[in-house]
Amino acid sequence: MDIRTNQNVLMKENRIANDKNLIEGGHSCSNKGAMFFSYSVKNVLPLLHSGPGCSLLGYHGHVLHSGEAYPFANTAVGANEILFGGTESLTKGLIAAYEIHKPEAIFLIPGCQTSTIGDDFESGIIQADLPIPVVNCQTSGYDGDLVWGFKKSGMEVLKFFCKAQKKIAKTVNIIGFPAHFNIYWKGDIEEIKRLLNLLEIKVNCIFPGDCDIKKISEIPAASLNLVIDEQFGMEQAQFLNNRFDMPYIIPEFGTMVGIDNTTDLLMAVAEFFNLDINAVNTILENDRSKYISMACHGYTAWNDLVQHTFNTFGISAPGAMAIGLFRFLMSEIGWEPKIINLNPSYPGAKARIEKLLELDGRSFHPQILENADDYELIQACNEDFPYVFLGRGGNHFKAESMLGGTVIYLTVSYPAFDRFIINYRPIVGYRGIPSLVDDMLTRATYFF
Amino acid sequence: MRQIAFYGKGGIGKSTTTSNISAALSDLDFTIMQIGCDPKSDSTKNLTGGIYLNTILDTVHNNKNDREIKAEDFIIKGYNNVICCEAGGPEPGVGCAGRGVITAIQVLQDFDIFNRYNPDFVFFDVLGDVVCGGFAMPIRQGYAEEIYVITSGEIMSLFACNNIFKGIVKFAKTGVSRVGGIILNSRNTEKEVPILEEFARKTNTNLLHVIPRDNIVYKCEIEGKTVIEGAPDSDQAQCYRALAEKIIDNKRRDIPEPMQTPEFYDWIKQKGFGLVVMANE
Repeated sequence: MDIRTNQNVLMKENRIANDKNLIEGGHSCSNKGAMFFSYSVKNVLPLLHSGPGCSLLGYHGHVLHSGEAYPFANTAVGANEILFGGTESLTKGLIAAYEIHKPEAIFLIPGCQTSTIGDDFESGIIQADLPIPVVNCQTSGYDGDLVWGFKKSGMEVLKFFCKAQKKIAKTVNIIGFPAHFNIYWKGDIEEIKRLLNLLEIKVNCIFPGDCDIKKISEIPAASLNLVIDEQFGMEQAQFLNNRFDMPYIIPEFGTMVGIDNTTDLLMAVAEFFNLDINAVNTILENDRSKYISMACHGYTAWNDLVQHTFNTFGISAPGAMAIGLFRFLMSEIGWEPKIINLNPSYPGAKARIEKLLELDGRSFHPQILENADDYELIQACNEDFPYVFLGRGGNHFKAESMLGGTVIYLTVSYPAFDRFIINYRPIVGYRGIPSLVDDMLTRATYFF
Repeated sequence: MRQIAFYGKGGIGKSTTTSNISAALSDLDFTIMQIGCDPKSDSTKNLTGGIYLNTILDTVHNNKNDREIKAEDFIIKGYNNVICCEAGGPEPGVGCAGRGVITAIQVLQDFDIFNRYNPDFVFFDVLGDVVCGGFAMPIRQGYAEEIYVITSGEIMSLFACNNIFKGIVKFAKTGVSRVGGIILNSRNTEKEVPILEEFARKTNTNLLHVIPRDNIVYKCEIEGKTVIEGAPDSDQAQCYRALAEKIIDNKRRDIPEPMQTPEFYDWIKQKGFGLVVMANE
């Protein structure tokens, strides 16, 4: 386990790939990423200062897989604002949004148009003179992709609310939790808390995903920051480390998906808090065996159903999650990887996959793609298609139509147009293992 | 109908020159329309006695939908029935002036202004440099079939002129816009005319006319008049009339060959000219 307590690994900003012919749902813009972030903080209202269409896209992209609606507001700038400036509209929008929704805070999300014309956001906030905090997320749509917007807005919120305070022993924050980027996010929160509770470690704040403004302001009180998803949490953990001297732990292989990723991360936490390693091992082993047993039953059913032939896989998901799934399917279930599309990717992601292949030692040679668009992905599938594909809702339809329905396709990542998760099933931790096997089995049942 | 745009560095005298050309041509019984494409909205003030026009953008976007907008809301007839209108735009520091030009031209299209007034000459007086797509709108949309660039012999004015040529070249393949010539609005810098002649040769254009510096221009402007109106018997008025007649007869439609920026500065260094306003000015 790689414990990094200082800023020795820098992640570059993951900007929109400008060389793309197609942009699919995994990219979108930073403005939508900021909306995803804002939805993940309780009692906060996201206010888009943009054209009206911006809110619609972010809204649909989000609620379809969560099965819930979240309030938001939009200043709906038009030709007048673009020509003559929209600061006055922003001020009016802030006042109206506050009067209607009475949120604890407003996260201002600027759009491409208002940023391009140079609207004075800070002046608009000051003139509104609201009795609640208004945070400028600084995520003009074109500044970056969805993931960048999510991280940037999170960073701005941390800077705004966090203050140095006394540490509380044996408490952790979950930093950079991907929330709406992960369609299993609600179940994941429960699973993370459950596992840490097994070790008698208290979760101070899950940021974002299970927090409000007060909880965010208390983040510096925790003893440790735990990054569940390297892609989303690394920079924020580094920031908190620099400003509040908070150590952090990140997974070596992307996320907490799968048996080894989960165990590695929990053991690192146990080591950090100087827990009795033998006792922790016993606790985790007891818990793990219960859920692995479930997964084995499911996998037996899978083999009965597909006659042992469907043992190759492809993945298209955000980098860290894709790495976690890759490790689980290849090293723990034993399938052969054909295609992995890290989308969006991040620095070091491809190297993680290569390292996993090396550790596995079976001489697999999957196509490793980074930020491949739908066209490139389908081309890759046509070259060497996998029998099982885990990816986005958007890819689903193309996979079925262009590959002649020959792939068992399971949507595991946003945007999920074809499913939503209502029963708090996780994808991380030990419970995530039977959950994922069950998902695949259910999908295979429909396939046959 | 001939559609002509005047470009040039900010403050170089585009509006003054355009207004005087408009006035001179109107005296020859041509129907003239002058459209100011600058948020300052002061292109036509010397044709209207110095009054501020209700601009196109003011009219359209501040309308409360309680009445039908008419072209006459933003068009007035000035000196000798020159048809005047101003695109308008945002206050300094806010909004998007380039978008304003695009919107204003769309409004003119919607109102079918050119067919309605049927002018012999339409003059677009465009703000400064071609800094963004909005200010290239008259070129892109083919409204500016002829372009005249007004410049002095000062370095930055020549630099702007060269940049404008770059903008013209960009759209030359697909559009109809061509350069009619360079108009030197003199600042009395050293060797101004030979420098401009060489600049024109190097950029495949021509120096159409030289306007000498004369304080009569400023005196007339204070009264909200062109020189043609305020000092019709002056040498300066005669100079503007001569320019107007050259434009009538001008057949040149050049695709310019602008210098790359390093080449431009190399040329400046090679020439070694002062390019400074003379002490007596």
